[in-house]
Amino acid sequence: MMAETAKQMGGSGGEAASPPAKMIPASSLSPDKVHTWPHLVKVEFIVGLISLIALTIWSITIDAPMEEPANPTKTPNPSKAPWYFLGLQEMLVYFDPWMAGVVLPSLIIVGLMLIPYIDINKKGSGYYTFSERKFAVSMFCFGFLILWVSLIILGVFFRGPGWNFFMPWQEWDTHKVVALTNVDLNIFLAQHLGIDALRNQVVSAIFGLGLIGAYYSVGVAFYVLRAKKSPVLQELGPIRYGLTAFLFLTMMALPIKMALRWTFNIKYILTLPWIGLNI
Amino acid sequence: MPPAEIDPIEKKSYTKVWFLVGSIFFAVSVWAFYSEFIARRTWKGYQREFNYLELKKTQDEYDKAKQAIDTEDKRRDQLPDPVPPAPPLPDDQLSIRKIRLKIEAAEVAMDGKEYQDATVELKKRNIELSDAKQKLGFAKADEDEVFYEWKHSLLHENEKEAEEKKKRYYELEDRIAEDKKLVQEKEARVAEVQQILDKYQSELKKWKTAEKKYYEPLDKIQKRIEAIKDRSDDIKQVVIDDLGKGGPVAWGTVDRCESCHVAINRAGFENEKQPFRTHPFREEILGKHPPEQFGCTTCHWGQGRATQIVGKPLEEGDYAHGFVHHWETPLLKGDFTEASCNKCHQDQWKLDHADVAMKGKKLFWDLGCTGCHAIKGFESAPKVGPSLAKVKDKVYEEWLLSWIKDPKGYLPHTKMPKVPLDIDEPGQTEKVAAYILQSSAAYDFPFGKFPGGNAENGKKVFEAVGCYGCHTLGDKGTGLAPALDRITEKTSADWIYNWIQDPKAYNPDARMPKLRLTGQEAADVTAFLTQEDKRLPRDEALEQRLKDPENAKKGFLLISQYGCYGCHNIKGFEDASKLSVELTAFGRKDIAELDFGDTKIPRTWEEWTKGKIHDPRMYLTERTSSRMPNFGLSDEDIHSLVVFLKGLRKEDVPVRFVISQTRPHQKVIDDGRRMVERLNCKGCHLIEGEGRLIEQAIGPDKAPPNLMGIGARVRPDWMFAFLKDPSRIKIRPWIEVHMPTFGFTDDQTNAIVQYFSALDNVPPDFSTLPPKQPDPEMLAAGEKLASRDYFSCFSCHIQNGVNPPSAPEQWGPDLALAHERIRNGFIPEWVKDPQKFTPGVKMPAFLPADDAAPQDILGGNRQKQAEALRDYIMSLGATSSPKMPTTTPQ
Repeated sequence: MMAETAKQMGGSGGEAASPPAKMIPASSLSPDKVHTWPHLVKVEFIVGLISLIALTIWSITIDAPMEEPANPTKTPNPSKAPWYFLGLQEMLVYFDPWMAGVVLPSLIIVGLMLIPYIDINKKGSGYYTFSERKFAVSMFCFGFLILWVSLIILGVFFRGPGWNFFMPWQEWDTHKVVALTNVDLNIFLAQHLGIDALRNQVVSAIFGLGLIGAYYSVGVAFYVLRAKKSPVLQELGPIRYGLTAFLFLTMMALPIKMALRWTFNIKYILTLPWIGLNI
Repeated sequence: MPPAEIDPIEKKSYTKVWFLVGSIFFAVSVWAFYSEFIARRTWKGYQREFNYLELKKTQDEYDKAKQAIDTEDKRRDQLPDPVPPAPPLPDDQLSIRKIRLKIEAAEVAMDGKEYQDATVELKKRNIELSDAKQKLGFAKADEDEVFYEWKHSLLHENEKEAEEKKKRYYELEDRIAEDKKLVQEKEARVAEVQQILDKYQSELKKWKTAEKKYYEPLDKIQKRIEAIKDRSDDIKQVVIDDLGKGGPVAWGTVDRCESCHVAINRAGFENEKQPFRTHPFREEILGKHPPEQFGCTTCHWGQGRATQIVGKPLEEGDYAHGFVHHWETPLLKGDFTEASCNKCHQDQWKLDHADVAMKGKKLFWDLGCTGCHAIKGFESAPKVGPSLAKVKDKVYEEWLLSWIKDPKGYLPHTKMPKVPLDIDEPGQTEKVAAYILQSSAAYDFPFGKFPGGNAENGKKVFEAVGCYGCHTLGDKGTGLAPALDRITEKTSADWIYNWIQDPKAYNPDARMPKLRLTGQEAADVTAFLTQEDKRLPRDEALEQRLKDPENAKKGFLLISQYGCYGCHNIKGFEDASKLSVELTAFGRKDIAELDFGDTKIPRTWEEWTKGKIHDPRMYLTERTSSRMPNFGLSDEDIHSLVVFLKGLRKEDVPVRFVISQTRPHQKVIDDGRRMVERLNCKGCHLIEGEGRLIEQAIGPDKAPPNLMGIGARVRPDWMFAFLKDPSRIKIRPWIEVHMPTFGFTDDQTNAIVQYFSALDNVPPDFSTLPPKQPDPEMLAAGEKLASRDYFSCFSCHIQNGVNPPSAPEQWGPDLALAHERIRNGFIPEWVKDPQKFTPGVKMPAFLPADDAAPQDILGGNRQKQAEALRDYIMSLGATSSPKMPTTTPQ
């Protein structure tokens, strides 16, 4: 195996050293194919130049923003992560650090790694298509552009001192005070529906676990109901479907949690004080 | 090859797009270079502008110098050449034309037959000489070889050959001697001709040198002009690794200020516009703080590394001066620059060019800010208010209440601030007073009750003993201690009678010294001070409330809240910690950390601090409280405090910059100054050119002595003994004000002695007393000089207890005391010129110059006469050596 590889490499090296092969006339290619050089490279080069122009103008006109000199005894306010991590930092507003900092980021990476194994749709290879890959394209766009990028934008431009929300035209007032009135879901329901049993930690834990279980069981129900009629689901099989559904539902949990926070000030849906887990 | 196929898929030409994008890219690249190397390096433009400015100045200087030389030249040129035998014009009166004529003449002379023949002859003789020298050289070489061969054969026991070589060696010796003679002969022949040539050549050289020297000043300027023209644009940078570490932020100083402020440390640009102006105090300040050792931002702040100004200087966008959003130390403007002095001059209280900051520092100490706010370096600050340990036997209840409520109402110049009592809740003052009175110990009145006295005599004593040195009464006196006009409002005659006899019996820390009054004198002074009873109307109900222990309990809490113990000793608060925040790093406080409340003042550190001192309660809101009292300071005082506080940044200055560490001499002076100030020595004495305020009250002739130069004059051992117990001797018996007994500790006494010595730059060292039987000739000469016929010393000086005939205002100390009191080497210098040591002293200078010395004594030798006077004066008077007191006098 090793020897073979070495041979191949040596072979290709020998080829590179030999005089360039005769250019294959375009006509000998299949009608829908062209040479990379010059057809692709020269257009790419133009794009490259335009990017360089934009970057140069940008760097001339806007100086790198500097903050105050580092001082180990003084924490800057707001303390912001590098911009590309601000989506993660924004997630900390809605989730327990264990979820927002460890579980969800890990799931993002694991999910991206899983794509080649759960996406068995061969269409769209070598050309662009939306109609043949509606689910895959919209999921990626939603997850990346809507969730990830917009969270970054929110973190960069809308969060000021104390991680408070500021509109871009508002002055960042260090002393701004926002009332903290978040409440766990069980207490919220106990207060609004008068179910005092929910105030009990054990009951509320069971209730929260039940809610989460119910949420994920939507995916199971969907499979059970639709599998027979849908060739796509059949082709996917229960394991691939299960993974896809789990990742999809977990992703959707973020906007759901954000909406609950913004509308009802819900802090956590499930609290398990015994193991320090809050969801 | 087949013709190139037209690519069927290439339907669109990108040539135009390529060209357009390429052109834009090129233009942007040019822009990037311009921006990087020109637009962002504003300092280059400044340097070039400065070079142009300096070139113009130097060019002017050149033109002026040239004009001066030309004018002078014209004058010299017109001088008539004297006709021999009159002496010719001196060389330094020759014009350049005449010098050049001389050169020409010298050159023409060289064309003459004598010179030309001599040149030919010299050549010939030089050849002869070199031949002779060669011959000699070769002979020496041969001899060296033969010597080697001779010794070599000896070593190898070749006797025969050795003998041969030895013979040959001595032959060569002889030949060398001959050749040497020949060389000498030839040398003499060369010198003979050279002499003729020298005559001509030295003449030419002389005038060539004169020509060169004539234009030397111009050449020097020309060289400078060329140096300016050759200058390249350089960043001028100072790097100091260990300076500029602010608090926890550790980095050094990197200052590029001189890249634009090119002439900051060069004289001659005082009136140029910025950034080319010379430092306004270049010699005094930069002389002691060379920028290459201290940097610029060390004192001025600003962003040392930055060199660019976008927009207007000293406004947002001026990076170089630090006016950029996150830079914490923008350039200090105006007298705020003085705020920087304190970081190295922590122990100094007097500093040229830092009057404002030093005043602020003094105020901070004197007003007792340290009672509530800790500052590093101010740990030794004493409590500024009097002890309240025995106050119940001192003050009247009604007065105490009115005093706490409005101290300035009773004493307009008091330091005691108005504490914000009774504002949140009425009746607080009463409770505070109740605690103070109930916690107070009793005073045992050691001198008993006031027996009554003679007020008129008391007035005389009051003036005579120097009370005006510290107190005011009416429109007389100095303001260190309280005014005594309304004293009867405050306290009883019994207390005054006891206090003035021994202040430390009432309060061991009292600043008032013991005046050594007799009981009668004390009674008379008390009678004088209590002539009019101004006691406030008594309020029985109030007095009852003040005795209520419940009120005292509440008062205790109030005192701990408002920090009265910061300035006063109050029983029960001995171990209380400082009430308010530490201010060691207050100058670097962030705006976000300052609470501006509902005020609309500008959000700056300076405005906040100013406001806080002006009205400590101005930032109060419904949710905040403030306990800081109002000191009622003037705007000027507030400003100086703000300047001082601005400099509190907790910077780690390396030891080599800290003045008290590097110059212990300075530290002695600084510590002494603090002490002199605290004890108000300047109320009576003139020290360092300041003080003697008592003069205004009792007149200059009765005022205590001028102490300028006292360190050089008086023996340190005598000064020590005197300060410990001034009662032992009276140097100037005609002055009624006498030095009180301060009860100094040994440390304090030493500090004062060392301070006076350091001021006069003499060591505070001890020495044996000079002999009393000196050389009889000197003694006789001294006596003669002191006599009426010469300097007549005793027409002003007391002579061993005998007063001089003149008016007391003219008197000088008893010379018999000099032996024990005056430094041995001092008298000769003193009699020469007393003003040098003590400006304003009445004594005239007897031997100011050599020609002032009487010619008939000691050969008219001024130094010897001065020493003779010393020997005579030292031989006078008492023989006992000074006694050191064994205990601090009570």
